[in-house]
Amino acid sequence: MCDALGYDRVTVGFQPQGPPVLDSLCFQVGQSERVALVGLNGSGKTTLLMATVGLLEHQGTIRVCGQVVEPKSVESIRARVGFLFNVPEDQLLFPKVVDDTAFALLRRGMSAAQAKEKARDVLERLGIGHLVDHPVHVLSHGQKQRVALAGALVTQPPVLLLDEPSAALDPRAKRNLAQLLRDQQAALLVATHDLSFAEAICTRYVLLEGGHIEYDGAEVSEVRRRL
Amino acid sequence: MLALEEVWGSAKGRVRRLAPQTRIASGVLLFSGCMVLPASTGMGAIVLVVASLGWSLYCQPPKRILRAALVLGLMLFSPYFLLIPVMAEQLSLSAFSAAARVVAGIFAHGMAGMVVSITTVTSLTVSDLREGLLRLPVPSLVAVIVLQIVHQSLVLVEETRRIASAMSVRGACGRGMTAFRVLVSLPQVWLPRVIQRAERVAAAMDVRGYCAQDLPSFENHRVGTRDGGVVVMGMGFLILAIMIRIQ
Repeated sequence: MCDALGYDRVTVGFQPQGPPVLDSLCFQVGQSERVALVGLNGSGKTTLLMATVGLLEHQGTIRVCGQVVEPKSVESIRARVGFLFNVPEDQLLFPKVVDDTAFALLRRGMSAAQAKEKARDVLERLGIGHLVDHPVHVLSHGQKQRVALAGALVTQPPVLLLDEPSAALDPRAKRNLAQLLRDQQAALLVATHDLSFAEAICTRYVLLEGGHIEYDGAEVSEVRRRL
Repeated sequence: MLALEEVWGSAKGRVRRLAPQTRIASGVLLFSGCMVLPASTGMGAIVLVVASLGWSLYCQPPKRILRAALVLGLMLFSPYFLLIPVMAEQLSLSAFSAAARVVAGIFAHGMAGMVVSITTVTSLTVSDLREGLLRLPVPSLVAVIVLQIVHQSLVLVEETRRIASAMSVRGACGRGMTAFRVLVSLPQVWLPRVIQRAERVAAAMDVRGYCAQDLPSFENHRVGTRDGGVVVMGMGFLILAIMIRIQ
């Protein structure tokens, strides 16, 4: 069985002359494995997630569920990935919460009634069931975060790429989210600064520094020591 | 102050019983008719006023929104009257009255257009707008762009409010040079933020497959005979406007 995510000598740079943001990264994420991507600001966590869904050009090979990320495959890859951006309101594209969450299901051919029912269920599990008919622009940052997460989780994709999922959440919402993510069958790659949140979900930690992997292992204490 | 999100879907009239696509189509037909009518003739002006008033009564937008539309219209179109002396070719009464008729025509078209378009907007929620556009023969790309403009403008209004709050907390509402400096620096902060946001939203649209195929519909609006009747009336109004214009 192939890995959910595979990075082979992946290099990403924004300036041709400058140092690369990611430099020859190599690691894999197995099916249903939960990996935290940790590192200081500017260490390349978001860049790696963006490159994984083909939003940034890269050198080397990135594979998602065995499929190489290249221009002709990005659409089918994106259909298999649930993605949470680090500014959640940017990915809310519909005026009503339930419509935004149901969108991905409708794209997969589900009827509007079924899609809305399923979207309500996910929103309920994220503790925002009362917001289904609210306009998205009036929500708080934490609520937007959870709506964006619902949109990523609703299709039960095999791979979840989450950029700072706990950033704006209160402690209770964080606990609920950690539980929800633990229950997922999907492979998880979570970019976060929040080590206690990462500890609650992940079984492996990849520490990025200066575009390189500084540590890749299961010891959170080692990550704490190095950060 | 009137908030943008208060305007969408705030009308209480019978128009809300119509399917969203009927509301959009009727508004467009009425707006087109108003623009075609020769407002400088007596007949044209009367039909223009009756049509705008009739649409407002049918939609019943909140009075404060209608008032705001009228004030905005006055602010935008009344300065044209200052052009009358420039437009009058001679210093004669007839030249002045001819110029005044032209300006009055522009003013009447502008005010009617403002009332009809804002009233139409009040008859639609943003979700209605999407459902309506999806069912009208509008190219998918145009519909997607219009919907995102509306959606993102609501988000930007919210962000503007946050910036305004931050400005007031940080003392930018003071007087003199401080306020001036903040006002000058505001576009320099604001514009890059908007551009960066646009880039991030475009990335999110890509990842979520927003533009990959036609947008799906979330509702099932039934189109009845009432809808047909209103569209026929709208088309009748447009034809009447064209006939008055041709005469």
